Amino acid sequence: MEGVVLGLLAALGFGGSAVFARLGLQHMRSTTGTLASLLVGTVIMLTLALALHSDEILAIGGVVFLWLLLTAIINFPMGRLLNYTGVRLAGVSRASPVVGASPLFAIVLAITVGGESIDLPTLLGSFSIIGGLFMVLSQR
Amino acid sequence: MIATETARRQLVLGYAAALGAAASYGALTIVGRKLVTDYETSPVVVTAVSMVMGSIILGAMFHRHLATDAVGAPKRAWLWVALAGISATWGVGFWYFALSRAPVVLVAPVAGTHPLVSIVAAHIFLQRLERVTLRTAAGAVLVVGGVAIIAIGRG
Repeated sequence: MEGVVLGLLAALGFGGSAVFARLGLQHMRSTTGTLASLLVGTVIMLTLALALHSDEILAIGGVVFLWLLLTAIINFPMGRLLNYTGVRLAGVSRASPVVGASPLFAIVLAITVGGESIDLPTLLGSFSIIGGLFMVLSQR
Repeated sequence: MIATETARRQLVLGYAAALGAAASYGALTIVGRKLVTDYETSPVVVTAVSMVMGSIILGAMFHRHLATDAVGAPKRAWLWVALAGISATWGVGFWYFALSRAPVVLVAPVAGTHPLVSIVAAHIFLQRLERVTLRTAAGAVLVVGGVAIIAIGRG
């Protein structure tokens, strides 16, 4: 039960973020909205990380640093900026289900690049996601 | 006619951007997992440090946009994007907290319902800006259902 409540609180945060972004992005570019929202989040997250894991942050090595840089590039100049651009241009209700289909892309990468195998639940879930995407994207 | 064509083009670009975001977040899952499992880096550290790096990169690329929009955008717009940032951080925080207390097989499908949260919130709070259709809601249910099936199946 605790996991469900905490998971729902996470969903509330992710879902609410897109709605707040839609309201703000009426008056500014997606680039500005992405940067401003990221700066606010960074202050909060960095404070939390320094309070809990300052030793680990100071001990980050070269290889991990490069992986973190890759994570940052994929997450923010790509992921969040494209997400907010989608929300700004297509609207929350149309962009959110498309962005929510990200596990489909993770699975495609895991199978093609990571060499993982596909099983029946993955196949069924993928068909469901593709069907949902088709319903949203084929709408005029 | 021109207005309709512009709106259609805007919609197509919006969908393309959203698909790009989904692909990025999908790739992020693979890269993030490598950092957390292979290099045993704390998820909080991964998130915080990557946010700092992301801020620096985006700041270097778009600081001029920030400066020009700072003049034109109303104060409430800044409040909304600040809340978007806080809300996203709230989501990430509870995501990791949930994973520390419950198995991913339970947390992932529940947290994966966020498109439905967005749609319900948009229907309630954004009626002036956009209309939520039955087709969109049904599509979102299929997407969320698919994510749940995969998360439970692979768990």
